[in-house]
Amino acid sequence: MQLKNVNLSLATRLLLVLLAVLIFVSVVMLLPVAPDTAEAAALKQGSSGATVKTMQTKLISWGYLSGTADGVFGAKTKAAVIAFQKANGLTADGVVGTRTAQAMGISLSGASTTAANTSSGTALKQGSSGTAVKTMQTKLINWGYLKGTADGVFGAKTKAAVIAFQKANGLTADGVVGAKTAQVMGITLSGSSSTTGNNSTSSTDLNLLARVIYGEARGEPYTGQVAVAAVVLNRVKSSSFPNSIAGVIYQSGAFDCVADGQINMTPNDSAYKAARDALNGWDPTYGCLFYYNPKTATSKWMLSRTIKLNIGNHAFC
Amino acid sequence: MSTKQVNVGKKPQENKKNKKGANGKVVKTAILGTVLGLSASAIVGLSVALYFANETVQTHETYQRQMDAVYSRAYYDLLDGASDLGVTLRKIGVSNSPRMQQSLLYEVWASASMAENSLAMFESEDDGFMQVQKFVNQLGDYSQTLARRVSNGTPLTVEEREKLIQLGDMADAYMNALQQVQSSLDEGKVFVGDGGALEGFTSAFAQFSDPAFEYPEMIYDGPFSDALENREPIALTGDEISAQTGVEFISDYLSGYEVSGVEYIGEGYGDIPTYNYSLTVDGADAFIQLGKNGGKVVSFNMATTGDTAQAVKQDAGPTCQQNAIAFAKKLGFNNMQVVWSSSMHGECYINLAPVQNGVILYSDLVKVKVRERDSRVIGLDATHYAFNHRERQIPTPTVSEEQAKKRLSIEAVSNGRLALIPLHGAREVLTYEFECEQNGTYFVYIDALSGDEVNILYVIDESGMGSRTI
Repeated sequence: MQLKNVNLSLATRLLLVLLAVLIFVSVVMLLPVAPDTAEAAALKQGSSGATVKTMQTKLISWGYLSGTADGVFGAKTKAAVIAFQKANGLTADGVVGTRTAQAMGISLSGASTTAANTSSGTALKQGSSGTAVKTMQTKLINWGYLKGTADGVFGAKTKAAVIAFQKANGLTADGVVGAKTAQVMGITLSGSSSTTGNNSTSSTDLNLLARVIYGEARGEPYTGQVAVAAVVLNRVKSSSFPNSIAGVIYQSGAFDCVADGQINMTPNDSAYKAARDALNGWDPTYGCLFYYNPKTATSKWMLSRTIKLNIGNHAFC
Repeated sequence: MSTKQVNVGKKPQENKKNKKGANGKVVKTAILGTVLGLSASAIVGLSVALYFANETVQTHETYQRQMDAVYSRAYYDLLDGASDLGVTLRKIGVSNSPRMQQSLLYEVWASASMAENSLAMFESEDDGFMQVQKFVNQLGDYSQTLARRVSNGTPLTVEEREKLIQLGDMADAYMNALQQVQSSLDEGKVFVGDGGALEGFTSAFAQFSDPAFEYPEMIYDGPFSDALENREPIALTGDEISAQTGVEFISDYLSGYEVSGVEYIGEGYGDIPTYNYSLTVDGADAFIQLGKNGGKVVSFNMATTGDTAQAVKQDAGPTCQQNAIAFAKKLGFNNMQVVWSSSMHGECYINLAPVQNGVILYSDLVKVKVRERDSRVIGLDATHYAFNHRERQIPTPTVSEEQAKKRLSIEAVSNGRLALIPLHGAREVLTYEFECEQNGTYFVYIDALSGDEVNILYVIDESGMGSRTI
């Protein structure tokens, strides 16, 4: 009896362990499917609300969508999302899931993760009038872009002055005072909060470089960030690498941030500044074509190269 | 309940025994129930898991096949382009007709350009493979340069023909390396996956990195010419300074700033030998690199935090430019003139070039970054200056400014100014620079010796990038 009892409990224990393992295994196997179940929070055609509006504002400012952000996910918004997904190497299904949301820099739970451009406000243009126009005119007069008095009416003369201001400050010279121009002027548009400008409307090269910097070196000192971008540009110039920025960045195995998807994150201000410096010729490495982190690098080939410069955690060679 | 009743009146020992037996039965039933229940849920769980696992595997396989198709296409494009390359190059070498030479050279250029793109698909970090990419890039560049020259009426020299025949042999070696991969593909291997053809792909070109491998040097007027790969900072003359002297130099250079925490962080062994320092300037992290010889500033950069894009006064431009010139002068860059400036996000990039006898030396740029809010210099880069600046032998123009102006097809809005400009990165040409307007601003450069139009730059005004030239 005693023996039998022991046997039984042993067998039971074994069975239980086996079952536990089986259940564990099945749960683990189910895990890769888990992200799909998060689809519930995804934005798709028919969705509406503040998050949709945030997303639309971003799509408008990036040029994927025209019109105004009404907070309703319709067919036009879907087309814009698909265009965005295509341009960013995401599955072009028109549904804003976790990955697309991450690439856009929006949070699906409702609140926007970035403060940038949450509201475009009401733009001032020819025909507008009121105190905001008057304030703007006063500023333009003080800065010498406009002559006469501030009458609070946005006419042809004011438009010309706005265009001159925009040209002088690297803005799109359309004569319309939108969120960006207003921000540079230091005036507040009704309904718009003055936010830090994001750099989303700038050129492809600048964007690509900023993404690489952010994906590869966001924790590095500023010069280290410029250096990473300089390595990309040195490769473009070198005969041993592809001859375009995109060719170099997306060359197979070249950058970790491409392999692990971090290149799709939204870069910060510092990354953009570093990218601009590099595009304007700053190269702290003076011609280096490689860099690695000596603490984590495993490639023998890489480790065998002569280090020419250390900045932060990166060795450049 | 019934067991209890039965037990009544029985001997304690029996009772105990019986109780144990009955308890055992209950335990057994419970275990059996649990086992059955768990097995059932395990089976359900497993089948669900298997279903999704199967789906995952299928998706994975689909992706793998798609990737394989991408690599295969790149590979077969390479093979296609490489197949006649050797023969074409040798044909050019023996051809006597400029027309034939020209068309064959363009053929090589087209094949090489295609190969460049396909090669970029494969992993880069292998010396032999990098050497092959270099060969293909240079070959395209070289043949394009020669084709252009032949079409301008200058025939190929004997040396160039010999070089082309040598390059034909290189092309054969390249073709052979590619074919090594083909044999494994013919055996049914695919590119992607464990033991796939991709793994050994770049090593097929190992012989190209062998020092004994004879590699014809291509020196010509082009961006990938061998002449440009090994640059020397000829402008950084003077005695080697010590890192400590560098610290003293820095406090001199940045005397108008609040400088603290200057720390020597090591040497740079790049194309320009430098001492590197990290420091705090006006409260911002900064980095400065001094040439080891002479201690001139090669690069200075401040990490400006926060929003620099604030309202800028209209007269900020001239003040920024004056400050840029003054800062450059303080650092020992004399006779500088503003040749270009572009403003973006509250920061202004100003390009300065030295002037020698009234001629602008465009190759010797010093780039200065100025914060527009307070017109303060926040960065300087003298890489171009370090590599190129020297006393030039400037020829006397044989074409007058008036004659040069007549060569323009659009209206000039400025007087011509004499400028020595780099051409294809290798040679310098004395030109007249004219600013012209026609639905936008162009800079047109007319050769001051031949009157030829040698370069046109167009100013693009992209929002976010500020204005720049292409």
